[in-house]
Amino acid sequence: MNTPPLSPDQEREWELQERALRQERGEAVAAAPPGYRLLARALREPLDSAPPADFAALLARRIERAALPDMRWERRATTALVAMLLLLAALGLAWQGQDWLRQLLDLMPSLPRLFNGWVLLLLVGLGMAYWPAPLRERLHGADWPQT
Amino acid sequence: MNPDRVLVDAVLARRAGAFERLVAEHQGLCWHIIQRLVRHPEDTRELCQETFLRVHQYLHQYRYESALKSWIGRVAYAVALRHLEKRQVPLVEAERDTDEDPLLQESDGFDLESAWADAQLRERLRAAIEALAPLPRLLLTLYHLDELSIPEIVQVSGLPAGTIKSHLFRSRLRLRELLQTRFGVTA
Repeated sequence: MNTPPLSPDQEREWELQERALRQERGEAVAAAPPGYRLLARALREPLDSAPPADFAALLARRIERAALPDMRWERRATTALVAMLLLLAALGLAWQGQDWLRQLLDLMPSLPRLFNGWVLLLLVGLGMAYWPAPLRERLHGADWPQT
Repeated sequence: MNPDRVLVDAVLARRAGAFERLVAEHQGLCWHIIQRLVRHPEDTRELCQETFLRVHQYLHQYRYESALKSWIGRVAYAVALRHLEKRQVPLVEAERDTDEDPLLQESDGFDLESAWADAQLRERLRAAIEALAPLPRLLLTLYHLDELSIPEIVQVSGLPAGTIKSHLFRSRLRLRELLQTRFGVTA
C-alpha cells in the first residue's frame, strides 16, 4: 500500500494544510488559507457518538465475572496435602513396609519388561503434548496480540 | 515509573478498579477508531467491547515497545478491519487520477468566523467528511481530533508513513475543493 511521495507543489499545499491545523490548535504560525482552517476546525469537532457513561464499569464487571477465581490458595493447600500424604506413606513404608514391598515386587512385572519400547513411546508422546505450550508462548511473545 | 507500566502491572495483578481505569483512559481512542471505520453505533459498541476483552486477554504479551495507547489502538483497528472484511466494505475508494486534483489558490475576502457560524455549511461539511471512505475518514480523525502524530498512526494502523501522509493530503485537498465548488465557499 505504498504511495509515491508528494510532488514539490503538493508539498507546498501540504504545508498550508499543516499551518491551518497548527493555527486551529492555537499555535503562533503564519496565517493559513481560511478554507483549510475551516476544515481543520470541522475535523476537530467531537464525533456524534461516544461510549456510554458506564461503559468502562460495565466492561470491568463483565471481565471480573468471566475471570477464573484466584486458585493460588487452593493450589498451595493441595501441594501441602500431597506432601503430607507422601511423607506418611514413606513413614508407613519404613515402619512396616518390608513385607508389603516383597509382596508388591512379586506381583509387578520385571523392570526390563516395564521399560520396553511402548513405555518409551508413551513418555515421548506425553513430552510432545506438554512441551509446545510454553514453547508456543515464547515464540508468540511478540508485542502485538494475534487478532 | 512509566504510567503505562504502573497501569498494566495493576491490571495483571488484578488490583481492584485497575481494568476499569484502563478502559476509561483508552475508550475514547478505541471508540473513534472503530466508529470512523464501521460507522454503525451498535456495531461500534460491540466491537469496542470485543477490543477491550482482547486487550484483557493478551495484556501479558504487551512488551512496552510502543505506548499502551498505540497498542490498544492497534487492537481496535484490527478488530474493526476484520469486521469490514467480513462485510466486504472497501477501506478506500478506487484511485482517482491525481492530476485531477487542482492545487487551490488562496483568496482574500473570506470571513472564517461567519462561515463557521453558518450551521448549514457546517452540516454539509460534516456530511462531506462522513462520506469519505473509511480509511481516510479514520486517518483525518486520528490526526486532527485525537492529535496523534503520523508515527503514532503508523503504530496503530501498520500503514507506511508516506501512505498516511498521502491520504491526509488528498482528503483535505478534496474537502477544500468541495468547499469551493459545491458549497460555493471561495476560500
